[in-house]
Amino acid sequence: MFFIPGFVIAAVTFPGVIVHEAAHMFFCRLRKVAVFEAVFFQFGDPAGYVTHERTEDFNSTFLISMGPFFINTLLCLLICFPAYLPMSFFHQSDPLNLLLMWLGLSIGMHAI
Amino acid sequence: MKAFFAGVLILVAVSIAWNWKFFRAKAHLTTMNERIEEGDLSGAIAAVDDFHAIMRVEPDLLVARNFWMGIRALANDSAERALELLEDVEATRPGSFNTSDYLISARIGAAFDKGDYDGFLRHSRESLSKRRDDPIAFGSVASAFACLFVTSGDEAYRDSTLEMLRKAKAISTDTSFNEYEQRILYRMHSKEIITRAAFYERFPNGWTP
Repeated sequence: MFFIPGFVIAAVTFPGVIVHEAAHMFFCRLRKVAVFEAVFFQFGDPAGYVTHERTEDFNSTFLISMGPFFINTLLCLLICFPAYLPMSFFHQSDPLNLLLMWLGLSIGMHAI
Repeated sequence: MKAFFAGVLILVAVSIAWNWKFFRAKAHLTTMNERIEEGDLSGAIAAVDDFHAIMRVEPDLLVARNFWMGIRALANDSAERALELLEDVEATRPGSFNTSDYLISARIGAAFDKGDYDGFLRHSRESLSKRRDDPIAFGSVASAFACLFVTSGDEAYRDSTLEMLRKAKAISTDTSFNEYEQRILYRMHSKEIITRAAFYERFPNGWTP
């Protein structure tokens, strides 16, 4: 077993980090919670973050924190499934579908 | 933010649009399987053709398509076409499909259509040797003897026809054989060999001696 540093994983799957942070920010905007700073991707720890004002509202807290789970999962399915169908069922792959699979899986990996 | 999510949605749209043909192809294959389950050969063949219009068809699927077309041709009294298709299936994938019984039926039909009544008798006997409990197999031999009686006038063929009809009726458990018997008896009575379709056109309510 070998260890892969987190920053390498984040770098390889950077589209997922961007979507993850964008999902947090999206729900901040949706719930009218002020955003102070947002870093969508950086080479470091953390790979991305969104700082926003405190809120006592449970729904807002839930949506902002769980936002990436919903958004990233949904996008992963929507991007990966069409690209996976020709590979799994018809044993056909092309560069665009491989790219889409990488994007979809990257996004899915950062659902939580 | 809006532009970002618009970009992501475009990505989703590209993924779906780029692979839409595979969704359609999969749908056609599903339709094909459903039609086969329903026994709708024409529907299954149409589904394979629709699939073929989108994607390259696997050789096995083309063989299956020819097999279904052969069975359909046989059901539509196009025995020569059926024989051509089924022989192609057997040559391409020997033993893959249970073509032997259908091939014999196609050979029987093709021989009848060509007026080769010796061939008709030979193939009918081959069929009977495999299906001794089938009144239609006995009927087919009787039918061939009746054709030979009409063309040769040899009474021995008449006796053989009646003997085969007697054996067929002895094992027939329902009335479905009666219409076949009518056609054979009419053939010997009229000394005229007509197709099944022509017989029903002439006698829509059946014929009795």
